[in-house]
Amino acid sequence: MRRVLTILAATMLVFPSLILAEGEFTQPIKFSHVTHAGANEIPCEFCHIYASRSIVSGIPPVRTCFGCHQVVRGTDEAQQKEIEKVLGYWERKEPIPWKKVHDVPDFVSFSHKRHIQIGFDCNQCHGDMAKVAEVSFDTMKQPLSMGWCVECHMTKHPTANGKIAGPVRKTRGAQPISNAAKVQPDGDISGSKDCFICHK
Amino acid sequence: MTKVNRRDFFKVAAVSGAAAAVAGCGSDPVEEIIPMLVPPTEYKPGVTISFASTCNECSANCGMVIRTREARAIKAEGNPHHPMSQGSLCNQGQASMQAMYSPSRSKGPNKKGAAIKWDEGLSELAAKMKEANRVLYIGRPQSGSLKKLLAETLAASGGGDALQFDMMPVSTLKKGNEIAFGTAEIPEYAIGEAKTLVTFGADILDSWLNNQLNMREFTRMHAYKHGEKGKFIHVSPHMSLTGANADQWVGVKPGDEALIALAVAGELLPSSAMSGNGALKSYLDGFTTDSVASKTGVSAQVIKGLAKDFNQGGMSLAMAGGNTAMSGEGTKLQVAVNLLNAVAGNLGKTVKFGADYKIGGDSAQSFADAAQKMKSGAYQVVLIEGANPVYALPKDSGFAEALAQVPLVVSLSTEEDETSALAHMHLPTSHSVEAWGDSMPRKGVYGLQQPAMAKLPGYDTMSLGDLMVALAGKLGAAAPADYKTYLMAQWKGYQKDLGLGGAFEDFWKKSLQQGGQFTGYSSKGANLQSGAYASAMAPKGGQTGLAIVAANSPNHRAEGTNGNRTWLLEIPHPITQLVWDSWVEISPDTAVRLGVNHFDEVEITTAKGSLKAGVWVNYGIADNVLSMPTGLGREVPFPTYVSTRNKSIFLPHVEMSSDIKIKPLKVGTNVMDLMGFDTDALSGDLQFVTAVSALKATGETAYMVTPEGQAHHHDAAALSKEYTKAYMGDRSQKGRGFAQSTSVEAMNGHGGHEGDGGHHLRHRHYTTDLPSNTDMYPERAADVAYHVDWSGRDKPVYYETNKWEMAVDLDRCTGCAACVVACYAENNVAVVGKERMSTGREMSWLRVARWQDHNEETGDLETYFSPNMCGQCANAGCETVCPVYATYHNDEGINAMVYNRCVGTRYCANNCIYKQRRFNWRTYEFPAPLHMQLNPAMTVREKGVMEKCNFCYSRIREGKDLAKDMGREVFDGEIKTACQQTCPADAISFGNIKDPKAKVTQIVNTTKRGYHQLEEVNFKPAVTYLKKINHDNKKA
Repeated sequence: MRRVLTILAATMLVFPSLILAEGEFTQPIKFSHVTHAGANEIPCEFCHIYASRSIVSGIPPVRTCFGCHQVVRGTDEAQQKEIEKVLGYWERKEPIPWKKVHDVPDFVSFSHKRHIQIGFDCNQCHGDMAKVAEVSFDTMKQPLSMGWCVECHMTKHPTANGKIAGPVRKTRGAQPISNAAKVQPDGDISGSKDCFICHK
Repeated sequence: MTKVNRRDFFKVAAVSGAAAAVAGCGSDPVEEIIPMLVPPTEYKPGVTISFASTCNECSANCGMVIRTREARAIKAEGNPHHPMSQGSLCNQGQASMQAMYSPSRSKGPNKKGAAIKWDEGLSELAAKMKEANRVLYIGRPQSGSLKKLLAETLAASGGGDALQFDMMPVSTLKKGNEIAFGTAEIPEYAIGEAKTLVTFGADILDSWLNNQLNMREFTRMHAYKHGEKGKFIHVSPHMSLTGANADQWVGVKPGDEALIALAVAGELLPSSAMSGNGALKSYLDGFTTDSVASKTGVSAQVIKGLAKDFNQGGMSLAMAGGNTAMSGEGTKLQVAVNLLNAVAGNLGKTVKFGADYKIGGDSAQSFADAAQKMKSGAYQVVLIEGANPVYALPKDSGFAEALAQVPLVVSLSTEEDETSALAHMHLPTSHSVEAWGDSMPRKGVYGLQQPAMAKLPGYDTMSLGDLMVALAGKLGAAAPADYKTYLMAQWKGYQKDLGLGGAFEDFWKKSLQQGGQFTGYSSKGANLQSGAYASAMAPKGGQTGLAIVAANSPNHRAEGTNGNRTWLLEIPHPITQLVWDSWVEISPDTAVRLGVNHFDEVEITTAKGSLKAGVWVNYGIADNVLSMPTGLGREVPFPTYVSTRNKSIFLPHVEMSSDIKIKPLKVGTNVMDLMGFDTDALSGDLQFVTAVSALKATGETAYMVTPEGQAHHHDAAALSKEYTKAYMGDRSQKGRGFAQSTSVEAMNGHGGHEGDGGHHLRHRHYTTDLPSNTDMYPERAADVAYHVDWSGRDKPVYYETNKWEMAVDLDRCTGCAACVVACYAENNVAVVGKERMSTGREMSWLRVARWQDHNEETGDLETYFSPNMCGQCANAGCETVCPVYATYHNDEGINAMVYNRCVGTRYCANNCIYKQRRFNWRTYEFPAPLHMQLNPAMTVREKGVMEKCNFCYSRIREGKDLAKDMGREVFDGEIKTACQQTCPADAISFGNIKDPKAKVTQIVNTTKRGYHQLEEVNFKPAVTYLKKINHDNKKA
């Protein structure tokens, strides 16, 4: 096995085109953001409850799913089948093993809270999720690469250079933050281009 | 030729490697993201939540705050509300996380390994308990509600005895107080108020009583403040960490301590309020200074000096105890020291009664008696919880044989150990981090222990309280629903006792928030009884001949619970700096006389057995005395990092974690194999000193490892006197001045040595002539301009809001290394094992360096400590040599390390003059379930990456984040590094140097004894050291 791995590694160096296929996966439940965020206009933070309070936005607890779906049972057979699955998880008291799509590497400290509190809209990074039927690597609007992060921090938003001028948050239906400057004591994000802000 | 910028070069280089990099990223496996079913209201993933609780690693029961992330405990810290530990935690308390996630933890109820159901096991146990005439319960000391519940459960079974297992010889202290004062209480020693402290054997900074409370009080008394500091003298055969912090260490034979105490009392009697006591006078006349001096070999001058220092009008304090005092004269020593305190007028002033301190357990004799009863068939059921007497007691106690005679032995221990291996049934209890409980370490201290997390997944355990409740129920007693209900009922009573009104819910909530209820108590003095100077109490003095002492240290405890905590094995012993080993400490003269050398392997033989260990020659041990560390010789499941070198075909191997085998590894030897089961005649406590019949070299060189390098490396210039004896080697700073010192006199303007770097230590053998205090590197105008432009500013701004700096007060630091354990816990520092330590591959971000320097005035060796961490140098050598910009200076003054940018050239480590950089020579494993302790706020580093201290940047990030949420700046003291948080001596100050009001700024700006290590190299480290202050330029 070791020998195989070694040869494989060597081959990949010589022929970089031999890229391993990305892990194929299916989500345990065919969840549709189109139905939830689109047709029913549920705000993002109704389910992703930690977005403004923590570094992670959070996957909704099963109780949140059950909260609605004990009443909402779906309009067609396909939906009903998937909702049955959700209720099954709740009854078995089992968490739903979702597959992670937006996966920031383990060595990165990214904070949803900081970006949301400053006034970013979820859409700016995640794209218009209301139009995404099933989240997969293909539907990711952004690569979540370091270059993409740094691009924003350096050029796109004046946040990196001084005063805060974060965009208004539309998804939560919130008002523009008029006192944005007060979010930061000095109205400045010190070291937002510092590697150590993200590399933990 | 066009000039290629370093960054541009790497941009080009990156493109050619990009495709390969993509391949690496693409193979990243898809992770699962599992939400909670119903999250608790306060739960937030990604946010640290702390729970106030109580530490249960030893019977001191210090206050603890358990930090949790994603609902699992990751770090133990001190609880600042707790009046005893006052916010700090010792090495063992820090390592409670390794106890919680111990790879030795029992997976679930079983009978000799065959899994059973909880109900089945408990029913069988209850039935057998009912049948039995008498039941014996052996457990850890309990001072809270569990003690009552246990008594009720045993009563329901039809009668039983409960024994508390702890090796700390406190029965001797109690017996001594009973004889001298008529009360068997453990008093409060007000160390902090004493002007002079003399300890007779009592290793107060290592293991005697509550070492956190001791250290807090000790620094209050001994740290330099307002132009003065107290004096501390340690009288003991073994210097230990305690003696290394003393101003004077008086080495005596084991058993001679009491003679010294009485001689000092005799010197003080004429000026004492008790001088009129004729019986006392005639008793003390039997211990004149001259007779004691000739008997003990301690000069009359030293004894007279002790008496002079001790005469403080009631503001001095003498303490006795600890393992080294247990030579058979232990109780007599306690009585003699009590007498000394009485003569000096200290009773009621520095020795206070009325606190009803609870620490330690029952005497060893009571376990021998229990073993006798087991053999005679008096007990049909024996329950053992959290105690390991089969390991800890000497073999001839007959405990293991007695246990074999008992029809049913049930272990309730959390971990599998030597004792649980002999049990018929193992019903594993949860660790205290997962369980409810409480403790009352002294009057007025009600410590509450709450579960900080759910039970460890995959481990089917039951908390001790719940187990007792279930057992009581099965035995037919009126049992509450669960132990929490029981506990709350008890606390309703405490609310009444404390006289606190209001609703119980509020009281309970407040208790949970602050970790309990804490009030004071009214203290009282005591009167010396005539029994204290009865002829029966007259000490005979120690025997002559070679003797061995089983010594504790902050990392070593006779109970053996620390023997399988990899942090405590990997972190160097404070004095010897040895890791992963047992050793035998021996004085240079004795080594020469016995013909053994430093690092020789020797075989030690006593009446009870023999074992092999390496010799560690040290001046800090009396002649004719050997010392070995306790608590070792246990098995640790540890990864075997088998090297795959020279086996690859044409590329380095991809080392897979499946290559790593977890193997039980025996660490050191059990010193108790040399000890007989001899107890103190008066108290019944075990003797930790025994005679050695032979010591001879085996002819082999011992494989002993210290992170400071092999001891055989000599600095020829420094060799003189002791250094040459038995090839002890030079452990000095070689004139480099890492730990510097000055004297009280110099600080007060006398003696004229102020500002001279450790003037009585060896002078530096090189000089520096810096023209000015400017940078070592010329101004790089173009470089600066480039960065100013890049950042979109008009002019360069250095350290905009914060610049983090640290001050380390060497006068406070005791060298206990609790900070090092905290650092390992906080920063996911890998444990590498003995072999890798021996090649200098230790990963410790913080180390406490121990130096033994020559005092050039007295010619004696003196011990100094300096905690060394990365200095985050403003002019760092590492930053400029990194070819890939993986390490750089950030605008908060942190020398940041970007792991995934690092390519592992190790240039930075070579260029660091402080040896603070650590390279991952491979991907180190955290054997399950230890990996669950890992702090998610810190990257777990992999092979090929450099790492080092970053002033706990994850904590800085967290603190700043919290401040931002509130729209304010970080305030001083809000962010504490892990080492600072746990330091019982408050030696480390940390903060923002740009804040003029910050404690660290005030210290750095106002101190007259600040210095930087290796200042002449002009690295400009952010760590300012404050010189150690000695009395008369002398210390132990």
